Amino acid sequence: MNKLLTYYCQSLEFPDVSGAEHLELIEIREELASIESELTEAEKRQLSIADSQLIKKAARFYAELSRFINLKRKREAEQISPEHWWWYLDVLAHLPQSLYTQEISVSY
Amino acid sequence: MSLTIDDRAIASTLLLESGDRLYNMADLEEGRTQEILAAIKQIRQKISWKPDKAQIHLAKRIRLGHLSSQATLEDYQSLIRAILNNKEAKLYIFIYESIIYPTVVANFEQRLWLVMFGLTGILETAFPPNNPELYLANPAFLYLGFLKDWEQ
Repeated sequence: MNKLLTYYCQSLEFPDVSGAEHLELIEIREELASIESELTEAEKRQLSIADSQLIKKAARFYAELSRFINLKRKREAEQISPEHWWWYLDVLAHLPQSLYTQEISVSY
Repeated sequence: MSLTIDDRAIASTLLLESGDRLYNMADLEEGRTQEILAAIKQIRQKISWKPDKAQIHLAKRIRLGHLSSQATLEDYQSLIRAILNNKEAKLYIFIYESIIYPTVVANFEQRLWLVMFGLTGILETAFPPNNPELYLANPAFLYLGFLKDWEQ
């Protein structure tokens, strides 16, 4: 697996380390976005799974990260679009946990 | 004239834009300088973690291969002490919302590690960034120079 992707996936297992480390995590996600087209299909699937972990744990990551960066100010200063959603952890942190704990069955 | 932390954050941005990242020691408030040096002295004497954080950080270092799978907290802390006592260590400060985190950076076994802590001497983290150059280019970091020059 791509080394950067591995680093990203493994780092996501530790939402409660210092936010100083999460600064790096977000930068790595940004870097992954720039090479996403070069990833294999399996790696893209892995990235998708990892991303869902980041979203699910957004509140825990943001609790630490907020001691080191003002994400809203960063987005405004650099005009970061919602496509780069990992810079929106402060927003994602407010998603209801029930989104992740409920089994949703959908019939088509 | 001494600058406030907020002034220095602005000055830092200007320095960064001019490509000069070295912050002039003389511009740092004397009180702040003493606080930073006291924090370094304190963490060298005793490595103190925030409650319940030591093992989490150790586990991450092992998971990412920064430390061997057999590494103990004492191994991790020995490495941290080695960084803090490295004669070629460089000193940065990370400033966010007027809070200063002194950060000591040095090589250890072919990796550039950083040790970040608060002015209270409590450890924030110690890790080798995946891309140190990029990580330390964050404008919140101010490069102050070699640690040994500060401690003369």
